[in-house]
Amino acid sequence: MATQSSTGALTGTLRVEYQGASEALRESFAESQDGEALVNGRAALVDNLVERCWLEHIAAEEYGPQGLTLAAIGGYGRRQLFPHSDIDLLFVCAEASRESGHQVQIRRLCQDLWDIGLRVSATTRTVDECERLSEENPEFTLSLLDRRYIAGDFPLFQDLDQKRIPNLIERRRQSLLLAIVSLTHARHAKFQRTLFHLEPNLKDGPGGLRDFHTCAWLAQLLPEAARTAASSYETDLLVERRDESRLAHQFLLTVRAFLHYRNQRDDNMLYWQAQDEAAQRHLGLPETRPVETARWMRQYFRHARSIDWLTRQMLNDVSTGRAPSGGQASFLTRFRSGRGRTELEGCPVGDGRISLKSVTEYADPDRVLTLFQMLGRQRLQLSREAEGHLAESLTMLAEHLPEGGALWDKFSRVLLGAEAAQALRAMHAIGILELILPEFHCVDALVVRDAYHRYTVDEHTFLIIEHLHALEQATSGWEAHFREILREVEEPALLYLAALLHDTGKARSDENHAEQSLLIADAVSQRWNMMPAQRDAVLRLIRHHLEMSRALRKDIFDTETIRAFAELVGTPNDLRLLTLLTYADIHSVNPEALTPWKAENLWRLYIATSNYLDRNVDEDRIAIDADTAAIQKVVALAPKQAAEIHRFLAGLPQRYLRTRTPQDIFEHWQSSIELETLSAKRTAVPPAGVAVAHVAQASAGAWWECTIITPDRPFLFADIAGALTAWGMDIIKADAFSNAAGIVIDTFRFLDRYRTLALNPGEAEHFQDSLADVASGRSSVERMLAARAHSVRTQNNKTRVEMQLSVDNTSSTHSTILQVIAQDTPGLLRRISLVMAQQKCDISVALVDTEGEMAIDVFYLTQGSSRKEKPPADAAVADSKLNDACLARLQQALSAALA
Amino acid sequence: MQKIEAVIQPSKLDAVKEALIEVGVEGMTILEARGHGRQKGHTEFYRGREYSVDVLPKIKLEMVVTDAMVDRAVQAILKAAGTGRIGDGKIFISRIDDAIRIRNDERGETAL
Repeated sequence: MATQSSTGALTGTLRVEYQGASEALRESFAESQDGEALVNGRAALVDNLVERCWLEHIAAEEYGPQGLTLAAIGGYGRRQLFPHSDIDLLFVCAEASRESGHQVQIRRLCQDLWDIGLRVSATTRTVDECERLSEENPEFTLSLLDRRYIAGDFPLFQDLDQKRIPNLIERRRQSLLLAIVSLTHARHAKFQRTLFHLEPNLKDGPGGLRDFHTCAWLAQLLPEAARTAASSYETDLLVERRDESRLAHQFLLTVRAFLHYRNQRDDNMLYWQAQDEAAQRHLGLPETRPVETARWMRQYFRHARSIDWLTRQMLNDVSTGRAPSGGQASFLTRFRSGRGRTELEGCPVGDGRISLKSVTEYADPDRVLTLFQMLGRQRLQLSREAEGHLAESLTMLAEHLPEGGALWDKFSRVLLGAEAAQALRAMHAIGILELILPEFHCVDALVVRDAYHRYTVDEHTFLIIEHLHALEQATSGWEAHFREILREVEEPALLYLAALLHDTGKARSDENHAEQSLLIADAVSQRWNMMPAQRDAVLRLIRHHLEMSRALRKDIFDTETIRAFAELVGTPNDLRLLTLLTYADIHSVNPEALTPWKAENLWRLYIATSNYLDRNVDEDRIAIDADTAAIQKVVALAPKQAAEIHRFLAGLPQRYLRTRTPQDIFEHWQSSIELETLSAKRTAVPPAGVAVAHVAQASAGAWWECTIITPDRPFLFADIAGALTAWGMDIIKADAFSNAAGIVIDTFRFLDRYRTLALNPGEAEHFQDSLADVASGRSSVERMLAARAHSVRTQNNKTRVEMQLSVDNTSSTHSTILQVIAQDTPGLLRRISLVMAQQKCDISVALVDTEGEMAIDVFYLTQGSSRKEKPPADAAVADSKLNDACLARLQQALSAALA
Repeated sequence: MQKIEAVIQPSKLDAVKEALIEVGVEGMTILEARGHGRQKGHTEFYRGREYSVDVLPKIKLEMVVTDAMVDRAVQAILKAAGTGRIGDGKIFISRIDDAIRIRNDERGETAL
């Protein structure tokens, strides 16, 4: 046994040796930048030191003493010792009595190793204990998978290595696999399950070294049968990706070693400064000169992606039961596995994975987009074969990709899926997203540094889409409020497209990226032949995508802030889109960015602006000499009639201009000219009115829309609403405006629940004429309603909405604003507007909306004059608000009618 | 050393921050807060529901400065955050015994 003085001398000698050898390894690494050689070299160096201490303290003879052995486990067991890694040692005793006999020597040995400068983490176990799965500490059992003999009783080590651990694996394979899955999921959750962090953790983050070790453990635990069960194509693919992962592993070894030296501790965060230095040293790259940091980081992400891919594939095999185990698979597992095989739009689904039926389909863009559409609908993964075949078919796909509107039509369906973000990530990883949207390539793994963003630009974008879709399922908290907004968005695909493109300009300029993104979005929308209204909506959203955050930095309870912001967004639908994009954008900056404080302020800004937009419609009217860009677009369609167009627009609320396309407005003007022709031809006494009606189905086919253009008269709005009810149509939205000349433009959006118009091609024309006849007063709406009375359906309401009437006599300078909230029932709008007409209240502006079973109708009412008597925008405004008596009568009559 | 705590309107944060940096205050902690005092709440109706705010959004700033800096910092906050209206906020000042920089264990004013 060593004496105190001889031990001290040895320690001193070994410490000097260790420092010298460590410095030599450091210099060698600086020269070669070979991380693998460094960690192997350090492991060998430590082996030598530990063996010599063993001889000094435990046993002088080789392979002694009997009944005690020393193994390296964990990273040290894998021969991967980084400059500041812990050194995991396992002292294994044949039986418990041996442990107490060697306790003092073991402690001295560990003390010496610490004195030498090694960070030792030592554990003592009996060989029997090693054979049991440590339920409370599964990490220990997993560390045994990387065991290696160092010193002591070799037969005892062989017993552990060849018998005990294989027995443990055989008996507890399923538990070990599940422990790995559980630990990995918990670890990934700490990194929000994405590898695309601006400052990634090289060891524990997704796609990091720990993931690579996880794959190695899984490969070790899976029985041979499972490893050979996959198809040969799948096996080839896995082998190929394993090779990629090995290269990635070498890259990560080098970078982690660099980080340890740089940070002088076991700190594996790749901070910005470290990224710059790594790029300067072209670390892990074949280049021989410095590279740009962004380029170096892309290399990092490429390597991390390959490890991440392999990890997910192997974890998925275990989770779905593809990896055989001793235990019985759960029902869910069996359903998701091949035993629950099914098809989605001709795409086979099994093992929670989706593919196409034949290899040739992978070269058919139509089928491929259908595949991603299905992937976007359900929580699925692409099968490994599908990934491989798609990667091989990229050239063919590029040649046959649909163009223009056809491509937008297919791609928008992918965006609308609840799991669209996952589908987009898969498309991006394979390269298909870049085929469809080459502009997106510039933000691939793009690192833009600021103090708040945590993810690369592409991942940030996918997260926005993920958070927006997550709102669909929200049931409580602020998310539930924003879900209500999402439900009211008219074309959600435009929101998702704007989200996808809103930061693409960051690759060109971080200073003014919105402008650059706008140019990209404009090019995309033109290439896809998007309708002008769609294109404009996307561009407006991208142009303004930072504006709501800016408004939040102002006083959101100040009317001026609200007015300015309302003017910027212009319409309720744009406000909804911008609110949702802002919500998801903040949410996707980092997990803590959207605090309840911010969410609440965002919601309050939204409702204040929404109310402002609804209550100030008649304040902001078009002047006769107005010449805005929107008006110029209309005039451009008939330049010679500029003066007539200006006269038609004069006095209409600005909202009309903001919510209609130039083509719509142009057609409305043409209809107003048509009215004059019709009036000239009328000779009947008393003269009947004239009206022009347009009926069209929305592009998505979800609803129909009719616009009536006619001179104003009492009961007009009520009669049109009644005519729609008589036809069995459900009004879901409406607005009613009038110009200074008293021409009314009333638009109703409705659902054709009985498909009367869709199933009877000639009926649309009949319907249109019928509306024009009612509007002009030639047909009696009462007779129509009486004729349809027998078919009035009863309605089973799922929720009960209490009727509410609220009066605002301050927001408008010459109208009384009445908001009616009531249970949405057939004929409701007719009943409300009829009461108003009976009470001699004229509807100056109407904004009708429905939210589920709730009707929310806002009316701008004036007293004793019809809309045609409204003064022009630039004339002095007479106060024509309802007086108290009239208001009281109206409220009483409405309460009775809607009770 | 003294600690200055200022509760201000969120819309004044940028201006106050700039003013403090200008007079030489190098570090501060910014907290999202809610509060109420004499400033009354706010009620908004939307879709038939009432959304009332009885505690209003505020920003709380905390900074520890040298004794010599206190007046300048307070004046900077007053000038940048004040509008003369109810709800501008409040400033609280208290004495601090010591400060320690965790990175290198520096103490006292040098740790600020």
